Amino acid sequence: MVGLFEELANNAPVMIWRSRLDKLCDFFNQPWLEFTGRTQEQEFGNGWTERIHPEDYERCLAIYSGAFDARESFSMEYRLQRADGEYRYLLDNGAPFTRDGEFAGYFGSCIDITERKQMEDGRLVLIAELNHRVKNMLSTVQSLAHQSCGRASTPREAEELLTGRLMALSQAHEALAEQYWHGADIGNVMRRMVALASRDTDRVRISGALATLRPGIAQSLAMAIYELFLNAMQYGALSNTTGTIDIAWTQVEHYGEPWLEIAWKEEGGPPVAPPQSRGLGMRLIRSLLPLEISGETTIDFARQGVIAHIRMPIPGGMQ
Amino acid sequence: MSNAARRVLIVEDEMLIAILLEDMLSELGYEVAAIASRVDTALPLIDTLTFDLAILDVNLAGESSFPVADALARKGRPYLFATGYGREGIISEHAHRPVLVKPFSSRDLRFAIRSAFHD
Repeated sequence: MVGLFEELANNAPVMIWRSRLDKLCDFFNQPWLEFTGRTQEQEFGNGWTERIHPEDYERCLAIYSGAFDARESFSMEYRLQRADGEYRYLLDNGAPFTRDGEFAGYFGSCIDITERKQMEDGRLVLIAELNHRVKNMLSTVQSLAHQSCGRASTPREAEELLTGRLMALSQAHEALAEQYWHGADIGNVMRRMVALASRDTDRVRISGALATLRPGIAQSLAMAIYELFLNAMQYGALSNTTGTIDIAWTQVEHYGEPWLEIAWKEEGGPPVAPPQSRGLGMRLIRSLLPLEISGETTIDFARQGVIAHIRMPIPGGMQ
Repeated sequence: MSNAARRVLIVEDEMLIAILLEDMLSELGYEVAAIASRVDTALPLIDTLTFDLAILDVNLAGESSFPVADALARKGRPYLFATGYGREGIISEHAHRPVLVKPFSSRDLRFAIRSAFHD
C-alpha cells in the first residue's frame, strides 16, 4: 500500500502536501519539491511558508488555520516562490482526512494558475480600457453634435451635418479596425473619405504610396479631410459640375527627417472667398491637427481654389 | 469675481474633445490660453504661459498626465481632471482635485471649475 501511495503522490501532476493534527506539515510530494527546489526537511513543519509571497502570507495562514480549527475544507490562491525565484500563483485546495474514523490532519493539492491569472488580469485591464474609450468616444460625439447643431440653420441641416461627421468618424474606425487598431494606411483613409463625400469620384484624384498612420493621427486626419470635402461641396470645387480636387501625398525631407506631406488642391470651382467664420474644419486644420501630428498645416483660400498642406514627421519613412 | 480675464490651459489629446472644451469654456466666459496634447509640450507652458486654471485629460495617447499635475501642484496652480476613467483613475496625490467624468455637461464643467478655484 505504501508503494501505491508513493507512486500516486509522486507522479500525479499536482503538488500535494499533508499536515498533522498540530497543523504542521509532514509530507510533500515530488512535484512540490521540484517546484520549490527544496528538500522535505526544509519544507516540513512551517518551513514551506517561508516561500509564500510576503503580501499573501498573513491571509494564507489565516485561511489555513481558520479552516483547520473548524475542520472545514478550503480553497485559496497565493503566490509561492518557485526554485528559479519567480513567484507563481497557486490554487491550493485543502481538506481534512480521517484515519480509523478519527480526524488525522489535512491533505492538500495545488496547481499553478499563473497563466490563467494573467489572462484574467489582462481581461480586467481590457475592460477598464474599453470603458475609458467608450467614454471618450461619447465625448467626441458630444463635440460633433455641438459643432453641428450650433451652426446649422435648421434641425434638418444639423442632423445631416452630424450624421455625415459620425460617418466620417466611423469610416476612420473601420480603417483602423482592419489593422487591429495598430494604425491605418493613409490611402485607405483617403479613399473612405472620398467615397463618403462625393458620388462623382472621377473629379477627385488621390495618389500616394503606402504609409501607416497611428490611430490618433488617422482619426484626426480623416475628420480634417472630411471637413475639407464639406467645404468643397458647399463652396468649392465640388459645388459646381466641373471642379476637381487633387489629393497627393509624398515623403519629403524636412529638418533633415522624413516627413509625410499631404497636398489638397481644388481647381475649377467658383471663385473662392476666405470664410467669414471659423468652422470646425478651419479649427481642426489650423489649430488642432498640428498638435495631433506634431507637424505643420497651411490652408490658403486662393481665388482659383483652396490649397491645403499637412506635413508630419513619419519616423522611419514610408514603405 | 469676474470670469472675463480667466485663462485656461487645456491638456487633452483628443482634438474633438479639446474643441468641445474650448467652446464650453468660451460660452462660460473663459478664455483658452493654449491647448497641449502631450506631457512634453504641456510642461514648459506651466512656466511660460499666463493662465489661471489647467484642465487635464489623464491619458495622453498612452502617457499619463500626472507629471503635469505634479508640476501644477508644486507651483500651487489650480487644476482639475477631465477623464473617461473617472475618479478611480486618479492617483492618490491628486485624488482631492475636482474630476470631470467624460462625457460632461457645461454645468458639470462650471461646478468643477468653481471647486478647483476654491481648493
